[in-house]
Amino acid sequence: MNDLVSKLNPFNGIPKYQVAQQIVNLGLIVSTALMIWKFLIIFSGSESPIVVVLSGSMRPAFDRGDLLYLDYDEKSPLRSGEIVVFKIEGKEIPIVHRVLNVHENAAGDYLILTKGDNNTVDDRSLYNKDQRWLTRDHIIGRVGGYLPYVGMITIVMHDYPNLKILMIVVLTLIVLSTRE
Amino acid sequence: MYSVTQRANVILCFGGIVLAGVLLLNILSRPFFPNEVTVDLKLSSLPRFNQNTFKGPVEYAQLVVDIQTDLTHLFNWNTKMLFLYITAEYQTDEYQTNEIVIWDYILKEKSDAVINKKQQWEYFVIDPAMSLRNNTVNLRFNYNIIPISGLVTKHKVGSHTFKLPSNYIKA
Amino acid sequence: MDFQGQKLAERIYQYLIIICGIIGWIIGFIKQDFTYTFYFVAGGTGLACLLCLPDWPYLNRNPLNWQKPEVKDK
Repeated sequence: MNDLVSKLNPFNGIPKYQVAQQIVNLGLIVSTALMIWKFLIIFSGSESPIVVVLSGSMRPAFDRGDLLYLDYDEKSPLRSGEIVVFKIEGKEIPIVHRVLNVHENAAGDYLILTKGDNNTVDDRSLYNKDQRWLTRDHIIGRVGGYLPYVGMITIVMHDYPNLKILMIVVLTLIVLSTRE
Repeated sequence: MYSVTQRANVILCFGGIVLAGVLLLNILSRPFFPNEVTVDLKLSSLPRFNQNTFKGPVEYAQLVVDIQTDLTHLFNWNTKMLFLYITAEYQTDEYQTNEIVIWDYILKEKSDAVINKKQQWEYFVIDPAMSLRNNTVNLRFNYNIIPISGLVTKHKVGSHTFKLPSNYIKA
Repeated sequence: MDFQGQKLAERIYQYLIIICGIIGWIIGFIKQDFTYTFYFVAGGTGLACLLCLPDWPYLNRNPLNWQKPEVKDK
């Protein structure tokens, strides 16, 4: 029985220092990814600089699985026709739609109305009850760049959360037990 | 390189890298394409101009426009589609900047890029500040270039200014 | 696959995919259509897979000389 376990164990035969080294490697990879993400947040000015399109309401411009890069410059004004990502209080999922109407006063307060290209009506039915407009606070960012299809993985992960856990476990095991 | 899976991994990765490189070259070649557009835009008629209540009093106006332009040279290999829209821009005491989209259109094929549309309208101008009467409105033509990959850009051309009447038009 | 074969395979796929990429880009640029470029790169990758993945005989022309296993005296 002991023989069988030692044959199946992927960590068998690896000296302890090498396992420790693999763990440090893993930590390096994770922290580098985190650094790049945080840098992107600062560089773009948006709290969430990369988003994946979740719905088809902006077809044919964007479709589910497309990747968007957002920027958000506090100083540059928001104008109609820009594609923005906004979040409504109480609703978790951010929405990617186009600004239809803009009213801005001298103090920099905004009244914003949005609409998805593929929708027939504007977004008022999506806003909260009694909410007629979006304000600047609702906007997470403005779409600067776009890559097709790349975000499909996150959608698959989202629809099948068990798959995400499984993939993380498998990847971790592989990284930790590779003998190089 | 000693196992099939390793070779497959390396080859597919390399193909992906070359694809990304080609896309990048694509994006970099964009500034070499001409970008100027001329537009003939004018107000055709003003059928409706009144006030109403929509969670509070608002003024609304229906602007019907004629638009003529040729956008064929905006279609290059990195163009996925063009989003065209006409904005009505005006100022009020309460809000210094107002931009209302009154018409939009999605252009996907180069063959449809010559535009000669009359009597177009889609959305009303709705002003919450009740300040449309006697106000000067500037119509502008805008287009949004959505690439196959890369930066999404916004452009504004053309202009047609007119004044709204000082009284409502009762139908 | 032996070492010489591995080197050959590496050369093949690298040059093949890059050349397909360059040709595809030029053709796509002239025709102003990215689908040409995409298919060239995809086709190049596919062809490289065909030429390099299976253990073809031309990749096995320099086999290693393994030593004969020792027979231990009982």
